[in-house]
Amino acid sequence: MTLKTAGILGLVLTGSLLLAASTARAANNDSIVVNFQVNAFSEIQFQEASVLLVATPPAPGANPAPVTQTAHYDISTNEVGRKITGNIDSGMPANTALRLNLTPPAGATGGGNLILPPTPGAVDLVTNIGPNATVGLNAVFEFAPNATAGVINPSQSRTCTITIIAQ
Amino acid sequence: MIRLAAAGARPRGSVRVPLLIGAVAVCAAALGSLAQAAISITADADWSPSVGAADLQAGPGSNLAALKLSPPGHVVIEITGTTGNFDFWQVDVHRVNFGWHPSLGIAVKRMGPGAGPGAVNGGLIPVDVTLTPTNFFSGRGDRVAIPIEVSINGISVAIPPATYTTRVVFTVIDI
Repeated sequence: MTLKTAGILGLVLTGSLLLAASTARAANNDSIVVNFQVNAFSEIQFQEASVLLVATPPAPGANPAPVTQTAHYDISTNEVGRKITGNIDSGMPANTALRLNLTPPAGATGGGNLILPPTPGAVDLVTNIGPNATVGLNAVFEFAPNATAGVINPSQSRTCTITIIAQ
Repeated sequence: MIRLAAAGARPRGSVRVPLLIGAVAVCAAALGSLAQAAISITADADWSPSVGAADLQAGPGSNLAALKLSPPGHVVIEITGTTGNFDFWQVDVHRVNFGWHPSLGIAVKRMGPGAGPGAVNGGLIPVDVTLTPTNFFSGRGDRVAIPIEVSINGISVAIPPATYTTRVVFTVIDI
């Protein structure tokens, strides 16, 4: 073997070792699967436990003025096509009405100042509700007697229920 | 004529060299092949979290907690088959989506050193897992029970109810 050949072999060997080092950059992989489940929900609540509505005697010959109280409600939903219905647990005294006007969350449609029927009836207070999380929306209750209602004594109470459901 | 005579007058050594090159190259390829088959990574386990009304931050009126973390110790990584404590490696991470919501993000974080004769470095700050491989952490030698925290971010009521799936791929590269 000549000196020149030995030199070439040395180069070849060095190159081969570099090649080996290069091909030694091995890789291997493994994986995990993440399944993220988002459950449907629609939640609603009044902030206040109760509201008090007191109608005062009107001037002679006039109807009593309606009285209002503003409560607040909170809503969270990740669903589309929801609505809020409302009712009261029993009927109102003759010639009186209890109304509720809910401010709708963004993107929804308010029904206005609507009479609350006794259960099992219900009225659509807000419609077209989509995904949102909103706190402190106005819920204005109005008690509207007329003169023919007479004196309502003792005072009475009604339980108002609002429900968010599919429309 | 001169060119042909020169081509036919090679020294004997010049004939052996190609044979040796071939033999050494085969050995090198075999060594490389052996090294490639050696190092290995194992990642366990799959994770299937869910969110619902119970995850609202403060009940009705509030949004969902934006972040969901895998339970401690649920996901662990193991690196084995190294040639020893001076066999250096790095772990890259990426994801392959199967119906993943674009507003949801995934991140991984190394929560501890694991065990074994080797060592680990980096990965202690959450690394966003994207569709492109990103360096997660590195180390040397065999290392087992490396605890990993997987997190899902961007959760809100704007994410429609459904099941979203992605595969988080961990790749160990011998360096």
